[in-house]
Amino acid sequence: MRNIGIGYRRDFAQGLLEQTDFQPAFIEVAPENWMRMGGHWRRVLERAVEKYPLYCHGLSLSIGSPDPLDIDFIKDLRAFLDEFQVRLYSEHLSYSKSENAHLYDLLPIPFREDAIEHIVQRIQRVQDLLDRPLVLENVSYYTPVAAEMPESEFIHRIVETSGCKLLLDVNNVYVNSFNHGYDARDFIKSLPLESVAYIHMAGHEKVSEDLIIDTHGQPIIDPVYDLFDFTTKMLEPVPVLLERDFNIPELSELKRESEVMERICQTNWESKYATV
Amino acid sequence: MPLSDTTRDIQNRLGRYVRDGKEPQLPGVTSGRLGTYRRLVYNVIDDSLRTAYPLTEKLLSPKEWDLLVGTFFNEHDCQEFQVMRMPRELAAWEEKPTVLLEDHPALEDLLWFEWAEVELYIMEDRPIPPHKALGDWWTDHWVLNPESQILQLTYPVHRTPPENLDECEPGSFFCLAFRQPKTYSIQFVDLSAIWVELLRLVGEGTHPAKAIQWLSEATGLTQDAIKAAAPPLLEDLKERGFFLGYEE
Repeated sequence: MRNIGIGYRRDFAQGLLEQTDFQPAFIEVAPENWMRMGGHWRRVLERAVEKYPLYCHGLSLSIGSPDPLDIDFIKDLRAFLDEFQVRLYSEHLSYSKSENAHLYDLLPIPFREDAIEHIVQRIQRVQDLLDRPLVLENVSYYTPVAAEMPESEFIHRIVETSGCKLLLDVNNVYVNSFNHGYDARDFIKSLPLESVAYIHMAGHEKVSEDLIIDTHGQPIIDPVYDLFDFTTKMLEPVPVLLERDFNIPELSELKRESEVMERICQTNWESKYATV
Repeated sequence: MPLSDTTRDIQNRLGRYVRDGKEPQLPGVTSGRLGTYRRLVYNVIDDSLRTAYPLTEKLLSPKEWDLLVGTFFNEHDCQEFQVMRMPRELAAWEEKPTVLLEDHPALEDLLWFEWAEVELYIMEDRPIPPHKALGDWWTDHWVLNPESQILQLTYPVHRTPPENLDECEPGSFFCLAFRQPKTYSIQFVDLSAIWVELLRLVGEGTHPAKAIQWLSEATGLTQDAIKAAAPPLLEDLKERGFFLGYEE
């Protein structure tokens, strides 16, 4: 694969290392699942980074939290990113901690003026502490909360003001457009596409007539591939990740999904490779 | 401009809701959708605890399990940024529902026993001093596996199926747990108090001969009797990867 990486999960960690049929361009892990780790899984990660470039996608930074940043965590994180020579570190534009308690999932930030300023300051502090750019993902959300502006404006202003990069999760755009009844293509066109540094693709689950949950537990569906095709036509080449966290299939199935995306990238970016 | 009190309050009320399930009045929320967050967050907590504590889940009825997990998540502020280490906070949580502790006196021990396995399996590597394979039990210093814990238990949770634990009488039980250096599997060894003390003393740097002398004085057993009884255990610990060798 030239462009497509894969979320490195313990279910197939060993298997991926021991086969040669499927060679993703890189692997991505949640640093929180591998930091302070010894024993068997430490050895596995050491072997994996000998074979593949490593990207990290965090879970606990809680950039949009009303609680203070956890500076000790960020310092430990930097040590991990440095030790494993992580190529790119991304996180979620959400919050996962409030009232001094970790909640271990991604809660929606109110799309509000003061939240923008709050987050921009925190992004700059994190980038200083990590000494690397922060790449933030547009998250799936199931309800807006006390919004003063549309999501696209919220994202646009945070990226523009802070100078951070954008992880464009195409599946999340699809999920949100379904759940909130907007046009996914218009939404993507409204984003600061020149700041996109990374793309995520995944499957989801429709749980009722009007609700899709972003489970990462199903194969990618055709409308999301179509949206990916639409999106990549407007972008310069960037790395693309296939996320699969639940109902993990055989590697051959993940390879098949990766190949579909790789073909789309090749088609849309062929003429651009020479310039990047 | 710092985060306004209004926005902070909105965010904290959503965070509070996913923990206690009492739906707040938040502006601009799509009807019926907040519950999705409560379910998603609760499932993460529940799954993580079930993974860490499969025996505890068997000890408790489904209703009791839900009571334990629900009250823990609602009342305890989780501090671990790593969800895989969050279950330790349940074992350490001192406000467990009294009814569960009364009906299942071994609950606390079982949680710590199960957590020891998880913690040893994921713990950071500890340096092992240089050592040689050959030596003498009583004249050389021992090198013991530093990736280990000795558990002091009131109930024999390490050798009793969870469904039988409620019938057990309290006592004083010891279990050595360690990470096997080659396979990284977690090994458990049932120990009597005298061997726990021997391993503790040697582990703290006491010469084995001195440790035997101390044990003899403390127990009234002769040093020869202790030395004669020790080798089967020590050979077993050597075979299983706890006794690593002799100091160089």
